[in-house]
Amino acid sequence: MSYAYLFKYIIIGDTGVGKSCLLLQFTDKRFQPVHDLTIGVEFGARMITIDGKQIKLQIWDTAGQEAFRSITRSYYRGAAGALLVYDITRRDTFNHLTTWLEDARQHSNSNMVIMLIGNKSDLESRREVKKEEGEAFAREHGLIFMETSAKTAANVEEAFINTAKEIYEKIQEGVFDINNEANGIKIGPQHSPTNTSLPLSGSGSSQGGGCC
Amino acid sequence: SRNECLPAYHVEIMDLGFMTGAYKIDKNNNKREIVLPAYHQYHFKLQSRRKMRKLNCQRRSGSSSDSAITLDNVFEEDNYDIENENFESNDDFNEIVFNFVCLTLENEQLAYISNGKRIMEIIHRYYNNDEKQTQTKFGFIIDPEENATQIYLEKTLNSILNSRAKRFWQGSCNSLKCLIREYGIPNEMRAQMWLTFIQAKIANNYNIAHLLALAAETASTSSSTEPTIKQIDMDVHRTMPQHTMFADHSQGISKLRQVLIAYSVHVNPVIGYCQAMNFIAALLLIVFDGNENYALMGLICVIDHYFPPQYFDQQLTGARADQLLLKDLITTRLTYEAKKVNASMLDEIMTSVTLNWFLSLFHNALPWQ
Repeated sequence: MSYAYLFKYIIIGDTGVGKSCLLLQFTDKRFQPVHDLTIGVEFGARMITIDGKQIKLQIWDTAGQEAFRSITRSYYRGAAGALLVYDITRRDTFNHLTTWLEDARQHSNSNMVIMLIGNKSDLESRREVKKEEGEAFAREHGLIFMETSAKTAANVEEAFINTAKEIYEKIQEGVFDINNEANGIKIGPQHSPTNTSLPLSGSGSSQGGGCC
Repeated sequence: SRNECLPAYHVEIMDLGFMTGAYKIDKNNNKREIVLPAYHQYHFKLQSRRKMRKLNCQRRSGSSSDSAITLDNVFEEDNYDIENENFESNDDFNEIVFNFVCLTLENEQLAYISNGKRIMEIIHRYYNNDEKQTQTKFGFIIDPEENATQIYLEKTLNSILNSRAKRFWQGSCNSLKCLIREYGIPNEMRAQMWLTFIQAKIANNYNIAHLLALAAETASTSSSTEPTIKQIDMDVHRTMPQHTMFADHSQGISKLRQVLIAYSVHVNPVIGYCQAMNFIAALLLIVFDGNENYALMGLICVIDHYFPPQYFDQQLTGARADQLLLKDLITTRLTYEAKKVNASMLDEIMTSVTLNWFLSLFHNALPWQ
């Protein structure tokens, strides 16, 4: 299917915070209460529309366990957006955010848009992390913030789409170098900008890799 | 009317072992949808044009009553053609139907199938027979949506397996290793043979009953905030939950927990617990019919004696080394495929697909048979 842009996302955060469920809710619009845990990295994709343009989101869902970070780290580099997820019913997943953020900042390109997500907002009675704390953390570190529920789908669309909007704005402002695929953005086949002569269109998938 | 779920089946032998993939086909627009992991689709696309068109079915000559159509008589001859105006003359689609026919219809006379209508009738019969089946032979609970596909997979694989098992027993090679590599272990013998292999490897070096008792103690006494225990507690509910043995509140879950704690706390605390061990332990529990003693022996055997020591360490050193090796193999051996993807895509494919295979021993990539 044709698209104007392709954005690569990565979903990170402690194990069991609901990363895979968020992805499934976004791509398939369903919630799977029981599922196998993620080993390594999984993948999903969906088309959205921003500003009248078709944008394809290519989403990499990572395993949360410490040992897998050596593998998932390599995914930061080529991502335009990151969803950093914690579980509002488990304080420790919130406490680990700093480590995740450091990791992300260190291994990603500096323009990567990071969305902080407090997931499982449907479990109000078991809440351990106040919404205000999430907001404060996001403000302090310059992130966008949202509380979501992969179960009820609350804010799930918004989380993914708002991140895309932010990336899109950055492209409009010229912050992103869209001709460098290593930034996690690719121009679609039907949307070659007039000021470039690069043959990015048409055969995007068979191109030689980015800088790395 | 065309069935709502028209899976097609594809079996192929390559360097990595026995590969399978299945597709669901949308009745309205012939849209295909992958049922098994994405790699298979990727692989199928690359391979199909080159190889699958050449596949041909031939009735087994010489066998008297049943004219079984199995992999045995899938030859590389380009003279079989499905003539059918009901299908769009789309190469891919025909290939899929073709494969489906090749591999499904153990008891059907392929020779009589001259057009797609006949094929559809048989497919319908296949599904309608077992509409009420709720779990597979191996205990996986069937999602109604995937019902037809599951039944189909089960049947196809059983038919392949039956013929393999038959030959296994007839013993056309003389060493056990050769037999197993060639035909696989028959289902009914698997537990017994695995156990024999495990015992040969680890002898009586472990006091399994004692280790499990320690684990039970740890499980009940240690605080649930201890990271390893906490992680295991979280993961036992995310281990094959679609299997009857590991459904909510089932005994299997507490057995799985006990086995994992025994290994990671009492057998090898240096490596500890790494995700993927849960799948190996679960697989062993299923094969050994819920016997936690055997499952623990198996887990120790696999992690400490079969894999290199750093395989599941904090950096997954061994597993990552394997990926590099595999990548090397892919670029040198599968040059056609490797050229289709660029280097970074290949890396992505490797980590998102093959890492999983190696760490969890193909538990969700290969058929249970």
